[in-house]
Amino acid sequence: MLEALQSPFFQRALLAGLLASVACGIVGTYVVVKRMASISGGLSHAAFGGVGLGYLLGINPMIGATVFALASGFGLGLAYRRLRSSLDTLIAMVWAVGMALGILFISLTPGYAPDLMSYLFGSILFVPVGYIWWVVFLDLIIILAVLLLHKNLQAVAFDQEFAEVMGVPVDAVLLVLLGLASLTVVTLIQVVGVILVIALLTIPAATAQQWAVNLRHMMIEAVLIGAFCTTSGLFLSYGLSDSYGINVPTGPLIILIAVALYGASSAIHAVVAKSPRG
Amino acid sequence: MPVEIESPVLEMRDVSLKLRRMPVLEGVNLELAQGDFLAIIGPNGGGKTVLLNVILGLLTPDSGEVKVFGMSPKRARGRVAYVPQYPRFDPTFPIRVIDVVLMGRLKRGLVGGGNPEEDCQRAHAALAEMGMADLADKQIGRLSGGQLQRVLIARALAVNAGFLILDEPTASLDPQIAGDLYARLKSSSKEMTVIVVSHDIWVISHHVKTIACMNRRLHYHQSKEITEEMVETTYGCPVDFMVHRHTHRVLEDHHEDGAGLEGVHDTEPGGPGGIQGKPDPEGESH
Ligand SMILES: Nc1ncnc2c1ncn2[C@@H]1O[C@H](COP(=O)(O)OP(=O)(O)O)[C@@H](O)[C@H]1O
Ligand SMILES: [Mg+2]
Repeated sequence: MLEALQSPFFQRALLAGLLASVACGIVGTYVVVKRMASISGGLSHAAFGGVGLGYLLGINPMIGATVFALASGFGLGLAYRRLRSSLDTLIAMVWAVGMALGILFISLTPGYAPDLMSYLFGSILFVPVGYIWWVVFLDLIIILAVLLLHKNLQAVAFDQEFAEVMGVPVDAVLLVLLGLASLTVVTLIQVVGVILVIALLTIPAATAQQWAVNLRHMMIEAVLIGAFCTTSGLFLSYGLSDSYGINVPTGPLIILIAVALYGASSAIHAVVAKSPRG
Repeated sequence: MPVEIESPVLEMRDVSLKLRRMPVLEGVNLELAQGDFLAIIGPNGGGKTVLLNVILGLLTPDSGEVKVFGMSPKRARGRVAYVPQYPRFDPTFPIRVIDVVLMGRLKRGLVGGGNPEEDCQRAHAALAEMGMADLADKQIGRLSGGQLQRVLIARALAVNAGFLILDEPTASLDPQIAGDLYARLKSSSKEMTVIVVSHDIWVISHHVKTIACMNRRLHYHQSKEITEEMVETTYGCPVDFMVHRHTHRVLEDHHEDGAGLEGVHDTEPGGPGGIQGKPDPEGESH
């Protein structure tokens, strides 16, 4: 198993997974406590529309995905406070329209769409070197944003109305949050694919929430859990292929590991919560 | 007489608002000067919370004018502190009590600012005032309803604002703590203007300067007198039932207090105006 570490492919995938876990854990924490999970699902499916457009126009599909995700993220960010009651419907529409456009654009693309499966289901084992640099860049932006804006991000996530009364520019904070969420979602598409991004973004953070006493702890725990899931998913898929000749994509394994961890954590948490303590 | 140069803390002129096509506020006029301490009473659904939201700039009226410190409510943000009627947050949110109170120290602007040492000190002082000093590091989700309400009040006190708005802040508090809170607000009402929505007429009438009744319209005569007309139009029930009983309770309380009650003894039973005027020394020495 350890000989996997000698393969440059595997090394790169491992590094990509670890770096993506940083963005995923930090942004996932805000997404989970602000109860924006469905928005993140909408964003990843909107991004698929951009992937399709990329194919159709013959440009890098990830550029199309980024544009689509950011546009929907900002749109939902502006709608967030204005359409409280119909927000759910709007998210569902963004979700479905993104998927529909993606399929339409791809079917209009002459010839066949290479790597289509990797956008749907992820392909962390085949990430290009440029991806590593992109994730480093994204992690730095996210860390910088948190250092500068954490108080306001936390306040808006915790009690938006009170933040507003205090003079916090709630719309601007929501736009920052959704902008970061859009970029993170696009980045995670490489790891687990459009369909499973919502799971990778939220499950490690939800697991961390059960134990964390504040958002900083929750972020650190979510990053570590995400790193564990991507790493063990990679080793598992490598092992299955190497020892048994079973070739499965890594993305679903990562998600199943994350879900198993969440289940175990919930069970332990339930037992601990019942036992008396100060 | 000295001439008033400062703009009033709050000015509302003919403010009306419909929500879902139902009139909720109709022709509301209200003016408060620095140091005023107003209680608003009124039936459920009478529009008290909506009125406060208009003052806070969370809702925009359909017509009329609202000025806070001479500015639009949105521009006055940061100079007004607020205790909401219900906590809006998720009890599973991982956060300690002290970090919630620290939100009362948020500054305007995207990046914020402030002096961390002073913020921390003010937050702890506000918590201590609400008798919650030893719970500073507790998770917010582990508090009882009354403790949570005290945290929300502490968060507003930490703002150190010139204008404090409290929406039924004592609904789940012990009477003792509620009384202490009102006494505290009264004692700092020289620097601070306060509006409190409350149903405990007999508790607040010890402390507030004026009382208004709210039921779509605001009935307010700049006094602590609750007239029969006010009660009948706001509650639609006999005056006897509301005012006389409460006044009676107030009088009883005064007798039990037993000190410095000059104003009270010559009050006609049933003359609610009699409870106003004289400061209550018990209230201030907590
Ligand atoms: N966001 C809203 N949308 C529609 N109607 C509302 C909204 N908020 C309050 N109302 C209505 O306005 C009226 C006054 O409510 P409120 O101010 O909460 O009363 P209260 O005096 O009990 O605080 C009620 O009839 C309520 O149904
Ligand atoms: Mg109310």
